[in-house]
Amino acid sequence: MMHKIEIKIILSIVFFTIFIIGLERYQLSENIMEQFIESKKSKNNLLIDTIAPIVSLNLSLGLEEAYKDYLKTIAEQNYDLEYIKLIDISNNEIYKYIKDSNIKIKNEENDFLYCRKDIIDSITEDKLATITLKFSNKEYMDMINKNRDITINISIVTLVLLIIFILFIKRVFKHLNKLTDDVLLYDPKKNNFDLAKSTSNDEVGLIHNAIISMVSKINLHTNILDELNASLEDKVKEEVEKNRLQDQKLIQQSKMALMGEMISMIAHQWRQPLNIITLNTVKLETDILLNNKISNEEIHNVTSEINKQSQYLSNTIDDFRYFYKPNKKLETVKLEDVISKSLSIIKASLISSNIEIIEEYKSKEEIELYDNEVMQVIINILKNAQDNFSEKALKDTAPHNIKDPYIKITTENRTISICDNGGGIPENIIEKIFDPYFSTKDEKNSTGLGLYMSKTIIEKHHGGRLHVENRSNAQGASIGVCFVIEI
Amino acid sequence: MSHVFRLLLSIFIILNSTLNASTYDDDVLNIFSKVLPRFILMSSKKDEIKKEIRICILHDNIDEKIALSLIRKTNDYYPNGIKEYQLKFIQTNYSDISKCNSSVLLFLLNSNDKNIKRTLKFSRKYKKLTISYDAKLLENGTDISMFLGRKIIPYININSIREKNIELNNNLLRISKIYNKEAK
Repeated sequence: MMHKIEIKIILSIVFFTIFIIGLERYQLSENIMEQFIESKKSKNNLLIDTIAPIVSLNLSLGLEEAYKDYLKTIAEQNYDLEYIKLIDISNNEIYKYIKDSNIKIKNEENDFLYCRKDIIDSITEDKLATITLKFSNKEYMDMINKNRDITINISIVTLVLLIIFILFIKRVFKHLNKLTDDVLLYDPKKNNFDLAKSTSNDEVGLIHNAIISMVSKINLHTNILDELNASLEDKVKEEVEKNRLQDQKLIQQSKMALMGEMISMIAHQWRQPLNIITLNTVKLETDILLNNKISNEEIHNVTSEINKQSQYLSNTIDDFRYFYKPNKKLETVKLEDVISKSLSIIKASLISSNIEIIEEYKSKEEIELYDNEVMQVIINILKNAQDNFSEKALKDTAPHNIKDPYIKITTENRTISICDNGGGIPENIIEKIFDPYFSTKDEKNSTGLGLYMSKTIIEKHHGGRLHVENRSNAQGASIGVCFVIEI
Repeated sequence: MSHVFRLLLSIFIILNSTLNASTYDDDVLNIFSKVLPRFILMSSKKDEIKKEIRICILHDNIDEKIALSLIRKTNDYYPNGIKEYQLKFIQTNYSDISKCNSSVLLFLLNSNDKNIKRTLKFSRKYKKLTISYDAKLLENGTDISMFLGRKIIPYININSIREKNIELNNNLLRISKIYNKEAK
C-alpha cells in the first residue's frame, strides 16, 4: 500500500535539504571564489603598483642592471609569480622572466592571474614601458579542491543524516501503518480488533488509543443495533402482515360495500332470463288450457330455452360467487377474459341505464394477475361511470345531460383503458379521487374506498399503475374521463 | 738642449692625454647626464626652481673638456629641457666657485682636497645639492654620487642631506645605496 504522507514527508525533507545545502554550498563557494579573486587581484595590483615606480625610476635614470636585479628579486620573493615581461614603447622586449618554461602565457586581460601596467616616468609623465605579470593558479586550484572536498564531506554527512532521518520516520510510520492495517481489517460483526493500548504519548499513540476507544464504542453500538434489528425485523414482519390483513379487510369491506350494488346488478342480469322463462312457461300453460296441440318440437324448444336461461342464471350466480371468493392465487389470463367476467356481472345494469358498451381488445397477451381483484377494479370503475351518467341524467338539462352515453373498454399490451363521455372530473378534485374515504356521492351511497382500493390492488398487489385523465375535444372542452390500468 | 726640451714636451703631452683618458668613464658620464636634472626634481630643491634648472659643474682646468662633454651629453639627452624647465649649465673652475651662486646643483669633478672642502663648505652654507663624479667624495660631504658596483645605483650621503634639510623622493631612496659615515 502506498504510504503517501510518509513518502511525501520523506521526499519533501530530502528535496528541501538538497536544495538548501546545494544553494548554500553554491553561494558560499561563489562568495569564497569571488573574495579570493578580489583578494588576489588586490594583492597583484598592489605588487605591480609597488614595482612600477621603482622600475620607472630605474628606467628613467638609465639604470638597466638595477631594474633587472630588482625584478629578479621581486620574482624570487613572490613564489606565485610565474612570469614578468617588460616591453618598451617600441614594443621591444627589454626584460623577461619565466619561472618554468612549460608555462603557457595567454593574452587574457580579464583573467585575474594576469596583471599589466604602463611604466610612466614620474617626472616627465611619458610612458616608458609596459610591464606584465602572470601569477600561478596553484592557490586558486588548491582552494577549489579544498572547497570541493568540503562540499563532498558536507554531502556525505548530510546523506548519513538523511538516512537516519528516513529510518526514524519509517519507524514512526510503521506504527501508524500497522494501525491502519488493523483498522482496515476490522469487522464489527467478527469483533476482530484486538490491539493493546499504546503507552506512547506522541500523536500516533494518541490516535492509537482513540481508535481503540472508538472501536469498543462501535462494538457496543453494533450489538445494540443487532438487537434492535432483530426486533425490528420481527416488528416489520408483524406490521407487514397487519397491513396485508388490513388490505384484505378493506378489499373485503369494499367488496361488501359493493354487494348491495352487485345484488342490484344480479337483479338486472336475472330479469330478462326470468322473463323469458316466464314467457315460455305461460305459453305452454296457455296451450295446455286451450287444449291446443303441442308438438314435441315445440316442447323441446320451450325446454331448451328454459334450460338455456337457467344456465345463464346459474352462470350469473357462479360469477357472483367467484367474485366474492376470498382467493389470493395468481392466475395467468388474458385481459379481455377478466373484462368479460366483469361485464357478465354489470353489463346488464349498464345496458338498462342506456349506456353503450364499446369493446376493443388488441391485447392477446396472457398476464399473471389476481383476476377477481382486477375484476373488482373494473367493476368499480364501470359502476362509478354508471353512477355519474345517472346523476347527470337526473339533471337532464344542458350541460349536465349526456346524449348517447357510452363506455369504451380497450386493451393494448398490458393496459386496460376505460373511457366514457360522462363530462370528466373537475380539475380541483381529480387528484383526490384515489384518496381513501373521498367521494362525491353522499355517505349512504358510497364509502369512498372504491377507487382507493382499486389503486391499492393495481399498484401494491400487481406492481402496476392506475391513473385517470380527463378527455377533451378539439376545442378543449372536457367530454369525459379515462381510467388507465397498467399491469 | 733642444733634444731634452723635445723629450720633456713629448713626455708631458703623452702623460697629459693618458691621464685625462683614464680618470672619467664615458658610460658613467652618460648616466650622470641623465640623472643630474632628475635628482634636482626628485628633491625638495625643485621648489627653488622657477623657469630653469641651473647646474654648476666644477672642475680643474685639466677637466674642462670633461665638463663640456657632460654638458653636451645632458643637453643631447634633454634637448628641450625636462618637464617645463630649461637646463642651464655653468661650468667653472674650482677657484671661481662664486659663479655657482645661482645654481641649485653643484656637480663636482675630481679635484684636490682643498678645492673639494672649500666647495662643500660653500654648498653647506648655501644649501646647494652636491653630486660628485667620484663616490669617495661622499666622505668629504657630497650629497649624492653613483655607486659603481655590479650594478650602477645612486649613492646617497644621508647625513649630508639631513644637514642641509633636503628631502629626497622615497623611491629614489629605495633604489639607492645609502652612505652613512657614522655606520662606518
